[in-house]
Amino acid sequence: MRFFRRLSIFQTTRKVMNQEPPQEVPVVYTIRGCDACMKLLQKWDAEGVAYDERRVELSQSVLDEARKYGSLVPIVVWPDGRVQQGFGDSLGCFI
Amino acid sequence: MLEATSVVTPTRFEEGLRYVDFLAQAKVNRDKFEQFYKDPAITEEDLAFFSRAAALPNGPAKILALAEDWCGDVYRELPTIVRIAEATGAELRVFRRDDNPDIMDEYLSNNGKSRAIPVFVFYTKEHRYITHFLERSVGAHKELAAAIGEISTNLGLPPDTTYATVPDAVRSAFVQALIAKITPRFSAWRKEAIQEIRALLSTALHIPNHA
Repeated sequence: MRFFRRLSIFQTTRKVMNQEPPQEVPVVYTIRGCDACMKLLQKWDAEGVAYDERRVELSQSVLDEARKYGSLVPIVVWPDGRVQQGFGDSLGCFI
Repeated sequence: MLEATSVVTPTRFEEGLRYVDFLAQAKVNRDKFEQFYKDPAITEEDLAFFSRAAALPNGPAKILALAEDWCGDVYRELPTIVRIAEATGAELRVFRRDDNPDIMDEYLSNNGKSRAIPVFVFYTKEHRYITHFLERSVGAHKELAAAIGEISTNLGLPPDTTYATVPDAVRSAFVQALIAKITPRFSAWRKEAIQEIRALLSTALHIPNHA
């Protein structure tokens, strides 16, 4: 979570500079009320995986951004461009 | 849920949001709620049934909805319930699922493991429980299971594959195929939900489903 907060500061800076540097960590679109999303984040936190979480339930613009990649959260966009939808033993949530 | 043991007392029911307030507070998908309100998938014949049911002394006069604005099943189905409430004069109260876990706990699905929404609960004017609807119709769940079976076969997976047992190597392909398969069915599932709610009320109130 500390790492995510650091990323958030970086994103603010990035927005001001209007530049899109290469993403070095996976971007994960989540809903905090989605069990599959929370299981993925818990797994990554336990493994020490760094990520950039973007919560779609808080902002229409983030939700619209997520829909470019898929319709089932969690949606993971890896640095190499691969996209994964859903996680674990439940389907996830349609957005 | 028997009213004697439910956390939803008449006072608690009144604390729920009116739909207009739920919509005003929504952070996302207001356009979707408005879109599906304008295209509610409900027929005049459906509305006539709900009006007949509501006219009974023990008919539905209050509807509780458990919902979240980010949920696709909610923005597809809740506007239909709004139409039913408007047509019948029923009092609709919306409770955000994540703010009301005690209510959600009374309507868990998947053997108590899932907090699936939407949930619609129908009460009489005196707040006696009549019936409730969970998430999607039985037919939609069957279609989902059939789609999983078909995609498993296409990917060379065992016939008893479930979402939980899909190998990681083909999970992305599996999910994409599943989404492509069921997304075109969402419109039909909305209509099936209405038919299932009709059937639930018909059974609970001992009235014919059709005029």
